[in-house]
Amino acid sequence: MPKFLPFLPRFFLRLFLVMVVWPLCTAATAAVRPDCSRPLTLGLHVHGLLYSSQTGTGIDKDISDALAQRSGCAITTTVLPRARIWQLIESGALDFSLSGISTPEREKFASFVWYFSNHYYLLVRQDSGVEKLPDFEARPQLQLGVIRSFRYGANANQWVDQLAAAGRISYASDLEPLYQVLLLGRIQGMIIEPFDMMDIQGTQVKDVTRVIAFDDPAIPHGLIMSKKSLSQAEQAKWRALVDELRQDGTVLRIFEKYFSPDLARSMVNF
Amino acid sequence: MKRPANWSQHLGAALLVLAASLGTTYWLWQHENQNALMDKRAQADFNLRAFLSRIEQRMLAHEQMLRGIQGLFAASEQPVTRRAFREYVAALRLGADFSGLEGVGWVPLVTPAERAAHVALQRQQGVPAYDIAPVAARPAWAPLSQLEPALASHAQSVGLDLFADAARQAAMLRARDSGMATITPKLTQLLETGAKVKAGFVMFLPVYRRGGVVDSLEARRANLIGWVVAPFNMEAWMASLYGEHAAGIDVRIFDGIEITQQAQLYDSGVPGAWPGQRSDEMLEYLNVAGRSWTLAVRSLGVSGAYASRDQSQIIARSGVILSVLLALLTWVMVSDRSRAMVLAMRMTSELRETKEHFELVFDTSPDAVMISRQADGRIIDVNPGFVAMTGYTRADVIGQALAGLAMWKTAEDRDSYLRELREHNGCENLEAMFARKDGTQLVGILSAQPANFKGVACFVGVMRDITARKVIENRMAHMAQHDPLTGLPNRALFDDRLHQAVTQAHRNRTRLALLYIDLDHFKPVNDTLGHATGDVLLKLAARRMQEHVRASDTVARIGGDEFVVLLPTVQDREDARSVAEKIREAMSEVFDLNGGHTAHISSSVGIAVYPDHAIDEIQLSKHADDAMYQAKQMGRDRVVFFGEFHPRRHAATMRVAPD
Repeated sequence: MPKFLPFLPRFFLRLFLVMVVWPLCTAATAAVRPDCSRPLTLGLHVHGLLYSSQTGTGIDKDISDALAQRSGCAITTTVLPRARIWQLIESGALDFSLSGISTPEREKFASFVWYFSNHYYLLVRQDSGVEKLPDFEARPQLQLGVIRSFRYGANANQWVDQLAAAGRISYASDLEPLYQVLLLGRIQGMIIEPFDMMDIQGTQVKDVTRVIAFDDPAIPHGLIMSKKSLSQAEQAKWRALVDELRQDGTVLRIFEKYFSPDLARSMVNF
Repeated sequence: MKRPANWSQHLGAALLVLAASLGTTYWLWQHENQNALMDKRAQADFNLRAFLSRIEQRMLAHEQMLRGIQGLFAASEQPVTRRAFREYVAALRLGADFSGLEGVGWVPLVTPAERAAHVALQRQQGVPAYDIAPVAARPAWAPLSQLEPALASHAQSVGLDLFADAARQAAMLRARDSGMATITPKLTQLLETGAKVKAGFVMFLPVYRRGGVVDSLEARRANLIGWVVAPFNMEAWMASLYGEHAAGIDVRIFDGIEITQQAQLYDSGVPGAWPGQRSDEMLEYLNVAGRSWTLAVRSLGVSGAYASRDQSQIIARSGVILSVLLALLTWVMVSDRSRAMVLAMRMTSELRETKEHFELVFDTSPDAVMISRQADGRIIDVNPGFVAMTGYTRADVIGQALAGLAMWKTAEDRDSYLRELREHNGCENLEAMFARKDGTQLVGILSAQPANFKGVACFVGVMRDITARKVIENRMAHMAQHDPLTGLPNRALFDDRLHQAVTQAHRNRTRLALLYIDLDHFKPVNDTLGHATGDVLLKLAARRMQEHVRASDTVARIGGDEFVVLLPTVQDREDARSVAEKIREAMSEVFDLNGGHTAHISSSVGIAVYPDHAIDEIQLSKHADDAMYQAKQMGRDRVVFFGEFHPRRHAATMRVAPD
């Protein structure tokens, strides 16, 4: 017996945790589960590793599944252009979307729960002669391809807005055609995120381009909730639920499916 | 018109203003142009987004409609019959909202093992000639088994294996793998309806086995039973979609990312020659049911509502007009100011000159200048000339009344001065006597003119010192009436006094006596001792004569050695004789001449008395002269009355005289 004695306290501690604390925690979490009395809608958009219409998989899809599973709610997903998603979130016709970033305008109609953050990068053709960001601006013949309604960090936003005012932007509803016209040379640059890197790995795009980072800090991305369709109380419940998914490692596990462990950790822990 | 000296500077200022305001106008015009361009872009962008939104929604609506059919298969416990399919599609009532949709069909996936049963079933359900064509051997066929609404023209297409067409096959496989609706690339032949179209596409939606799991690629592939198919005529589809609401933009749609005539799905513009890629087109890439479409968008000429917001032309025109006006105004103002400056400087200069002149005259004039107020006569200012002339300082006189000054010698002069001012509002050459501060006499000639000095009604008086002139005048007057040698009155003065005396005597009824005196033996003295000595003798004789007459009497020299004496009032002849005798005696005394010489002379005196001997001065003189001549005749050194020795002649004269 004396041999077991040193383990006894740990055993009782575990017993205490299992018998008392865990039920309390589940009771507490169960108490804040969102209202599932009506079917909820979630908009997905085709964007690199976030969602691929070809395979019907991606980070956003996994997060969406995790949300549905943890909340126990039926969540209908629809694949829509990003611009359309923002319109629907604003009108309240759509409850959720994912991987959204905040702007002052969006804060008016949407609230966010961050679960990862990342930097933005300019993918630019090597033959454009652009070595750093100001080079692109300084060459009026260079065109930038962006996804309509996308926003970025403060500096990148300002940079894109200046190009837009000069009529130097080509819009697209997803990245795929932009890669193609970048190869054609119809545009010379486009803005990408880490989850787009996989798209260009091993393609011709990678061979003819270089990547330049924007000098913005990592921008948090998260669950987008429509303020019109979800009450403050419901939003708080979903916020708690996402935080729970982060804390219990669910989010990290999803990201680790798509990125190296280091990158996944750096994106999720911010 | 004569140009001002610095007209080039004025022109320069005006041009500067013109340049500045034109520059501002240009800037505003540019700014407005830029704004207009941005408005135009924003408007075009807004229209474009609205347009994109319609395409997406329409495509979603089609997808939704196909999902309904997908639902029909999912919900049916029995295989869906042709009749059920037909009725379902009919129930959808695909009207104008689905314009361009050429039909809705069912394409089952048929493996070789299922083929016979499939064909038999179709024949059994109402298509006796049904078969899969072409009949090439495949792992599986995708025959268009049914297309609703079932038109006669569609009959050829029923049974057509869509896998035989590569584009369709690719789209169908993508639909199968993704579980989503997909569309083919651009088509010009809709095999499903047998119709040729300018541009079209076909949409596929996969249908999976009822109850099958489709959450993975493998599961989807394993559970696929067929596709719902919908061919579209792009032109009709766009017509209903677009209508007349594409304000401000011209849109061309291309399948994929290539801008080629072959890839062109739609052109909202006027049909014409293929323009290639236009430089003013903005390109936008749209994902439509898993396929990229390129939208080439061009802003059209502005519409009315938009044009009214472009103020650049108005700004340019009004800016130019205002600039010119401003420049003119500047020129007028600058040159006017310059002219005014020149005028002001000239006037100032003249004024200063006038002031200097005035000060020069005022300060340096030897004449005394006095400025006194009309109201009370008080002196406002006097010049240095006044101070020099009168000895009074400015402090002595300023503030004093001119008439009250002690320098007036006589009250008469002062009063006449005041009277002149009062009656004639000034005076001219008023001669007056003054006393200087030191008491010496001053004769001044005074003029005064009314004037306005610093807004006060004044008299400006100018006084000239004529004291010296007066002395000369007096001396000349004396010389004109006196004998220069003896200083006695000459004949002219004497005649004047005689005339006055006769008039006086006549008025007063008194007597007067006229004595003519001639020196005896004067000529020998003159001849022997010379004229100078003779003159001395004459002077001494004259002095002696004066010593023996009264102050009221007059002694005059009327010739070389002839003298006359007027006694204006005598009581009688003896009175006259007494004076004459005294003179005669004085003349007979020795005269001590200069150089130790002496002279012994005498005198002959003739007397005529008024009114005894004559009643007018001419007659009286003549009679005295006659009497003097008589005395000479009678041996000299005696006194003779007229008529004393020639009564007859006397009487005759008396008689004749009144005539």
